[in-house]
Amino acid sequence: MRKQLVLQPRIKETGLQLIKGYNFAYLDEGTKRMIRRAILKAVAVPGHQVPFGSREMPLPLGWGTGGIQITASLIGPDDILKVIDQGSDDTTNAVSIRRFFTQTTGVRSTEKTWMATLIQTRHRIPETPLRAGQIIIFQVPIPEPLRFLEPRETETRKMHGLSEYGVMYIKLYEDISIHGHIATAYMYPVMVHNRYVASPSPIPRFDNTKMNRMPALQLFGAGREKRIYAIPPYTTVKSLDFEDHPFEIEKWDHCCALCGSGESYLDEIVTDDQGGRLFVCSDTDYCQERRAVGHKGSLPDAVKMAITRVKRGD
Amino acid sequence: MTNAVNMSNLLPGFPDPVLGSQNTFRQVLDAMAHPGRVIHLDTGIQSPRPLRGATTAVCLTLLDFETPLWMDLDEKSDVSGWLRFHCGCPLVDSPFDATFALISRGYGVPTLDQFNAGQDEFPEQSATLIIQVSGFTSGSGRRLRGPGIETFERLEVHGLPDNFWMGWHLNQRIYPLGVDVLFTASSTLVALPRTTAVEE
Repeated sequence: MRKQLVLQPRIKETGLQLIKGYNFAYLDEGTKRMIRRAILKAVAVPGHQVPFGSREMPLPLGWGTGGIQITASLIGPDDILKVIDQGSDDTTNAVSIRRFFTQTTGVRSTEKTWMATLIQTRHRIPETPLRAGQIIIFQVPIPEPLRFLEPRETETRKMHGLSEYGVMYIKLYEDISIHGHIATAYMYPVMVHNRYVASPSPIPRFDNTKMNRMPALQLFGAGREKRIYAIPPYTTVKSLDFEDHPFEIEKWDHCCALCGSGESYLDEIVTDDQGGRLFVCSDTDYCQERRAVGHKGSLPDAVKMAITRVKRGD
Repeated sequence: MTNAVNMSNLLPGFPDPVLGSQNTFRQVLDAMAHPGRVIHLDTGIQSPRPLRGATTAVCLTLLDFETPLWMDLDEKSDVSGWLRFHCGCPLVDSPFDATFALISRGYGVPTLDQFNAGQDEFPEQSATLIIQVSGFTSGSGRRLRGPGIETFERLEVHGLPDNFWMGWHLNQRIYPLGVDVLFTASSTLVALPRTTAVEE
């Protein structure tokens, strides 16, 4: 009965129908229980990859099936869901996942970071700091940070068991010897709770610092690779580095052309074939919230509206 | 396991099995993500004696045919029949074989080293202990630190044997191996994952 009360307004608002014939949140209860147990163990051993019986989902592998299965095991009628893809609420992956949960649960969704209880994300952490009580769910293509250095699962498992991460430091050292600095721009490995090296998923290293002692719970789901891992709130997360080559995040010489922010992660947009380009916030919600309270970038208003439409895919 | 379940006095599970277990799981996850925090479960279910509301809800949410269970209760007890009907979990004789343990009398909890602590490569295979205690006092007592706790949390757990905390120190020393604990008391829940350091 309670379910019905929540479902009606959302369905009206979006014009979407609740799909009949499926369990609440699509997965069967046995699968949810199995995933829930894996999540609890993942939280108990921060950064350790817990295997789980990943199911076939109505989206292809690589479209966030790991994140979707975690979200499906968590979500309830009181939740407010936000889904982002590269910082944007409006791109294909985000739209289709949000629609999937609207149609299988009827729960409310939002684009506002502060309003969401569950945030499923592909490749970004929102600029607005997450608060205690929120849960962020990362879609992870390759959960094993050592995989490109050691292809054998039996070996990487042993390396994690023995906390033997020398090979990762050698990789970072080689970066420095070849490029003069650590050239890893995304999926930059982190040390969780001083024990496990984990992949932050392919977020830009700009976002790595947000993971350290984050008040929100961070869950990571890899559907194809069948792994779940977690970082509890207020857990120490350190990006690997060297004393003489400390970890650094990306910096831009520009501010966002739309909202003028000099603190957000910027996307580069090519505007013509004469070398013209501009930089705008990757986090669309953050950018819009700033413009709503009067922050302005360098662009004329008419151009801003056109860019917003292009980013929205209108 | 050959005893038939006595259907005449079998109590029901969640009024809404899907949303009941969803809601309970979120509370358990909240507890696990914030060790030492006392979480109130709104279960609204009847429990087979001597289980209490929070214990019953946690069992219904997490146990099934994939989770061998060890418990301190007799196989002929109401709880045994109730578990077999609602959860279908196999009951095992040795604590070491269990992925979950149900301890209805906290003061009689076996030493933690009798349970599976996992292996170096599979620390997630360790046991989860559901320990029913008489109550909690938060804000005073032992000092808890670790992931999920911003600075420290203070908690006293009532109805545990004196040697439990000694056992917890040993459990801590084998990290990342070790068991995880869910304490339950009437309709409240406190989690103690293996990462939580407890000082006097």
